[in-house]
Amino acid sequence: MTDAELVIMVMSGPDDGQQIHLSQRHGDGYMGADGTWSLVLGRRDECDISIPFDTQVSRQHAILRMTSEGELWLSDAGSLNGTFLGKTRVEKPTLLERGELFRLGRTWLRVQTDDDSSE
Amino acid sequence: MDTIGLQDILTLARQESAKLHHYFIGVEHLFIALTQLSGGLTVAVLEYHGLSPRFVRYSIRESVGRYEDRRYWPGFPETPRAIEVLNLAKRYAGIHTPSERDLLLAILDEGDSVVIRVLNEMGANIAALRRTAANWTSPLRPQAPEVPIQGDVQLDAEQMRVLQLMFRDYGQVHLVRELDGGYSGARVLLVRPIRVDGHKDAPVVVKLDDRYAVLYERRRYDLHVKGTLPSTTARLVDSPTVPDDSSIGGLKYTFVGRIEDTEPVNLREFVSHHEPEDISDLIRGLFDSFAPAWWLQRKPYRFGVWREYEHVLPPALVVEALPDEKADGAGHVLNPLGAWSRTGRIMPGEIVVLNGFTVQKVDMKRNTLHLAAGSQPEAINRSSKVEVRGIEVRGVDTEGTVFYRGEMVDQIVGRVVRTRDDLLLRAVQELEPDFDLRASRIPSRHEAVGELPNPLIEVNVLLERQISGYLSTIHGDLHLGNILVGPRGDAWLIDFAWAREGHTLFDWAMLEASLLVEYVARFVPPGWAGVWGTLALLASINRGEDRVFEDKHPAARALTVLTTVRAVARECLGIQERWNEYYIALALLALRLMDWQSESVEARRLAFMVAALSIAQTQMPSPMGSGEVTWTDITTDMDQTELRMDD
Repeated sequence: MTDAELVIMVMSGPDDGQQIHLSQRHGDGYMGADGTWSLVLGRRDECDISIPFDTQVSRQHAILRMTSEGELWLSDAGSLNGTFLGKTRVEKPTLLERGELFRLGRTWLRVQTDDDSSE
Repeated sequence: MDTIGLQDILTLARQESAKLHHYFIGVEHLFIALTQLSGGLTVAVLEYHGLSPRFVRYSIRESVGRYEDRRYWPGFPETPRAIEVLNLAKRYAGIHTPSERDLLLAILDEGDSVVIRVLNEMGANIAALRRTAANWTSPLRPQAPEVPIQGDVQLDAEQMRVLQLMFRDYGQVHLVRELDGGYSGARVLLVRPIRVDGHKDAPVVVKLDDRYAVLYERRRYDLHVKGTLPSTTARLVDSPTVPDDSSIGGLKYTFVGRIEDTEPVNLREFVSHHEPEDISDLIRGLFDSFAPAWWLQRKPYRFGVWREYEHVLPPALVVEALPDEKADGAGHVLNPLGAWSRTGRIMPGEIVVLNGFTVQKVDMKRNTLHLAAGSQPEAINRSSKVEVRGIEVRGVDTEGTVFYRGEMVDQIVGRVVRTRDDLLLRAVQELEPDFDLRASRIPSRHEAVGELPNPLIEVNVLLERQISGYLSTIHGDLHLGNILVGPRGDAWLIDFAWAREGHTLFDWAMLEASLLVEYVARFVPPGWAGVWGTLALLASINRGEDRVFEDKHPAARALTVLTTVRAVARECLGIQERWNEYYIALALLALRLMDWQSESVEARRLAFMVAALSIAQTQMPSPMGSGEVTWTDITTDMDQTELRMDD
């Protein structure tokens, strides 16, 4: 089975411009039996994508899943301030395009396309 | 100096970031800073494309939001994206420091920041903005928004502008109060700068003065002061702020040592609220901390008095400028450092030709040039002072002549309107003397003080005398306004404009004269009788008596401080217990203070009579016995510095 990988760029705040490289092989995320790779986003250090300086981000804020087909699904994990795709609040798991901006608290993030991350 | 550089933009960005409680520098803060440069490229480009800079700012702030006032790190770290943008701007700038345009293009080209998203949302065409920015050719004059300056010190627009430039890195500036600067026209302020994040920095002393004076002071400081300061004292920081298009500039002194919350006061204020004993302790402390590197250097020095002291007196001549052709070979040709300035032989009405003098000061308001031997602050270079009036100094005149400070003037022809003797005479006349100013002696008005020599008659004789003393680093203007006292009683010096290698006792005679005029004079009963009473007490100090310690009169109490100055001076005498050296200095410096218009008539009367008493001291038979042939008279060809004999 090939290694699951993602590059996420922070698009605002003190880490604006930072790229977070995630790879299953390096122990990021959780690989389910059905081949879905789950990543936890939140304020805590233990999160796969940790956003420590945004007080509007909950400790465990959102989950990003990548199916074995490579589809990305974003869902809120019961956060206080919500998860947004563009301007729409994410109420149920929602399909996320690469390159699309989404927001936790006041931190904007973006899953990089292969073009972006090759830089 | 006036143009906006990257540092200024970063400062504005920090201010913006602090306002939003972000405490980091992102591209959004950099861009907001650019939109705040009124008259700048960013504003011009946005407006050209129909975007209001204010609305752009508002939209960016709306998008990023304001954070809670809590910090997770010290300082203002740059975001990875801001670093990328700044590096790009540096690449565009090449060998130069990045300009506003470089930074604007970098932000537009990076293309992925909050700024770009907001501009896109507003319907802006980023590519078009970039084209406009890259091709903009109309002249621009960007100006940073002003730092708020508070405090009730009255300053003119020019002084405010220099302060703005000096503190452009700060969020606001509080003018605590003015430390009165004395006679020179400089403004000395105590200023507390407050950083953009609200942190209050330690107070600094700011001096606003003529641009050349400011530049000179910095040079003096670097040359004579910097390496010789004790660990706790005022230090000059930063380069002087001297805008190209301004006639003034500013200097900043900070204090090493503990300031706490109480701000320093100058000695002039300190003496109002403290006992003579405290003032004495302070002066002793000042000497002890500076002396090893300054006054106790003790390099034997033999000099003609005029070399060190002529410049403290009024100009030797005041001359009304004449057109060159009027010279026509007639008139005295005067060169700098000639004896003409001390002989009193040149009379009003005579024509003089001034050759090779250097401009010390250009007074545009009065069309007056102040000339002296040279431009360096060494005392000898400031000798041969001449004031030339009625000369067109403003702008370029028909002859194409513009005078600037430090310039050597080939030739100026003029008619003498006043001599130093006239100027001194007029100054004393203002004091309403009750004795004949043209007589050689002043009749005694107190039984403990005999008749005294008239300083107006004696001054030129004094200048011609020789002194064997010491040479050391000196402050050169040690009056009460230039000594600052911290809350713990530390003494600091400020104003190093005249710091130099010079006669060691200059500073201490200056301090004594200043104490007499600015402190003791407050306790002198009005009228000439009060002056003579004080003089009698001073004469007792001269004789080494303890009378002032027993007398309960306030003036006597104040005079006890002088015994401390004398104790210090004793350590600096060229020859043990030969006080002539000191009294000559004191007489001439007292004459200088007699002319300080800011002082009361009583204080100036006291100054004049102190000069008279001091001259009398120098005329007394030496302690080695009267009628003695003084050593220098018979040793003129010998190595005088080795003998170090006075007179």
